[in-house]
This record gives sequence, structure tokens and C-alpha cells, in this order.
Amino acid sequence: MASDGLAFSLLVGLMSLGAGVFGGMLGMAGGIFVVPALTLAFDVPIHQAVGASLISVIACSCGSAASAMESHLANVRLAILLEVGTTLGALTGVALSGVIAPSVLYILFSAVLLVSAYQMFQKARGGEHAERWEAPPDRWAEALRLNSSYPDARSGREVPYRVARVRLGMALMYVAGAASSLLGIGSGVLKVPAMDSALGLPIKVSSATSNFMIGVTGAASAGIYYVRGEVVPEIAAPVALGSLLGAYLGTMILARTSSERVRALFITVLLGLAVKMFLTAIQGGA
Amino acid sequence: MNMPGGDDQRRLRRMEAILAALLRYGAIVAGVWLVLGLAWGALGGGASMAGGAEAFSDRCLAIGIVLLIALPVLRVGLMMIIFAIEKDYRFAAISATVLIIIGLGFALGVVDALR
Repeated sequence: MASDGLAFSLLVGLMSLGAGVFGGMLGMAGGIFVVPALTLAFDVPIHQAVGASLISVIACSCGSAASAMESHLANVRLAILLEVGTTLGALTGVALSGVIAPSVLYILFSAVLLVSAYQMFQKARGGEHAERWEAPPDRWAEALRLNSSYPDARSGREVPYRVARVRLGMALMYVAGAASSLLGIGSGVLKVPAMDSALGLPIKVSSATSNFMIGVTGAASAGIYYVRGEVVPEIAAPVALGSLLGAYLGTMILARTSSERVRALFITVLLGLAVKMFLTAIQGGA
Repeated sequence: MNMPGGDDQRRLRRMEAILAALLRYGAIVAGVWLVLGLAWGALGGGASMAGGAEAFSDRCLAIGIVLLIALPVLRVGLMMIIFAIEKDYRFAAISATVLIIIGLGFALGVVDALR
């Protein structure tokens, strides 16, 4: 399908709206749905799909980052430190995107979709996160004053927490940044578990800090894609606007639906997309 | 274990408020340019106006997209300035490092594109 015409923009916008709604309901940017949809349904070359998706990831991240600030849950010092890792990763990812075959990208995407489905499955099964372990003091965390506290909504008090294994966290952020720029996703799916298990952050802090960081990783990669002409405005603009609107609607819908049914639906969708992307790669349709 | 003291927390709160405002309003402004670009492209795509309308809508879209890409970078820049003002030079330097990495990426991308 040629990337021109009002009909195209409208359809892409509607698709992004749907992806944004999904993302909003799951608390993530819709990139993980947008790229497969653009490549599988709209025949957009994967680099352009990634470029467009990154723009929408940035757009959606502005809202969630602002909320992360206003709720005082994000650890900004930790975030800026980790961003050294994610931006280096993003640069690596963009460099790799020039040499990695599209079919390999499809397969990587498929893997990320499977990981997301698995995480969602774990959440549905395990209910609340397993008991938090007390993070041991970390030299970097102490030196840089990363340990902080967050306001607990229920008790109204500030709950202190420590940050552990900062260097491991940096390494994981590097990987997340590379995945983000290669696949056009926000990588919250990789960042949040990393912060949760490696850094030992309370889950609310992990999510908020990850949301805060997503925009910078996206911008680092999107800028390069743009300069290389891989951001097509006629695709990127409707994707960004559709995702924004969808994310807003998604969070509203989320308030009124049962989580279990939503999760089951999404696990199915993620698995379906994973299979489709994988098959496309194998059959040489990339 | 060190919890941020009163002063430290106040500074953090102030930074959070400024950054939140930048991101929210910036996203809205960028969104407006995108809507403008798409609307102009949709409405102005007629016969005789074709050339001018297309260029204008493309320009609006470009502004919106570039603005979106710039926003998180501005956010980091703002953090660097605020850290410096509060004499937290370590974190000002860390923020500067992030900016340099991003800038390096853009520069390499431009070089690559020109080849």
C-alpha cells in the first residue's frame, strides 16, 4: 500500500488508536502493537515502521513522564544516570539496524512479544509482586545519593527505599536502549523487570522511573532515524496522534473493566502477533 | 540509609514540577502542529493548490515531529541547568554526558546520511 492519500493516514491513525488503547490499558506505550501492525497489515518497510513508532513512543511518554513527576514516584537522579546507559544502547541499536537483516528484526520482535506475554501471564497468575527483598547498600547509590523515598498513597507517609546493583542496572539499561531503537518500542517491558529485580526498586517506582526515561531513549534513536530519512511524516504523524488519543482512552477504559479478562485478551493478541512476525520472517516476507 | 532531607526533597519537587510542565505543554504544542499538518494535507490536496498546500502541510508535520524528538532532549538540558543552579555539579555533568551522547548520535546520523 503506497504511503500516500488521506485513506492511508486515516487507517493508520485508526490502527494506532487501537494500539494506543491496548497500550493504555496495559500501562505501556503502544509501540509493541504498532510496528507489527504497520509491517504486517500496511506493508510498511520495517525501518520506517520503527521510525514512526519511535515518534509515537515519545509522544505517549510525555504524558506518562509528566504523571510520573507529579506523583513523585520517579527517581530522577537514578533516571538520568541510567539514561547514560540507555542512550548508549540506543546509539548501538541504530548502528545495528543498518546492518541487521529485516527478517532478524522480525524474529527479535517476536521474542520481545513472547517475553511480554510471559510477563503478563506471570502477573495474572502471581497476583501481587512477591515480597520485596531489602536491597543491600550499593557504593554508587550511596555516593550519588540515589537512595530515596516515595509517597505511599494509602498511608500518606514517605516510604524510603535503597537502590542496589547500580552497575548491573546500567548494563541492563544498555540492552533495553538497544532493543528500543532496533524495534521501535518503549522497552518498558525490559526496563521495569530490570529495575524491579536488579535494582530492587518498589514496583511503583520502577514503573514511574521507566516511564520517565522512555522519552529520552526514544528521542536518541528517533533523531537518527529522522536524519536518515526513515521517519515518514505521513506515517509518523497519524501514528503519533492515534496513539496519544488511544492511550488516553485506554486508561479511561481500564478503570471500568475487569483486569483478568483484559489480560487474557492481550496475552492472546501478543502471542498471535509473535507467531505472525516469526512466520513472516521465516517465509521471507520481511 | 539516607532518605532525602527537607531541602533535598524541596529541590526535587521543584524540578519535578518544571519538567512535568515542559513535557505536558510541549506535547500539546507538537500535537497541534501535527493536526495542522494532517488537516492541511487533507483539505488542501486539491488540483491548483496542490504544490503550495503540500509543502505547507509537510512543513507543519516536520515541525511537529522535530518538536517531539526535541522535547526529551530539552528535558535533559533543563535537568542539567537545574542541577547546576543547585550546585549539584556531579549530576549536571551526568546530564551533560547524556546530551553529548545524544548529540553524537545525531552527528553520526547526519554524516551517515550525507554519504
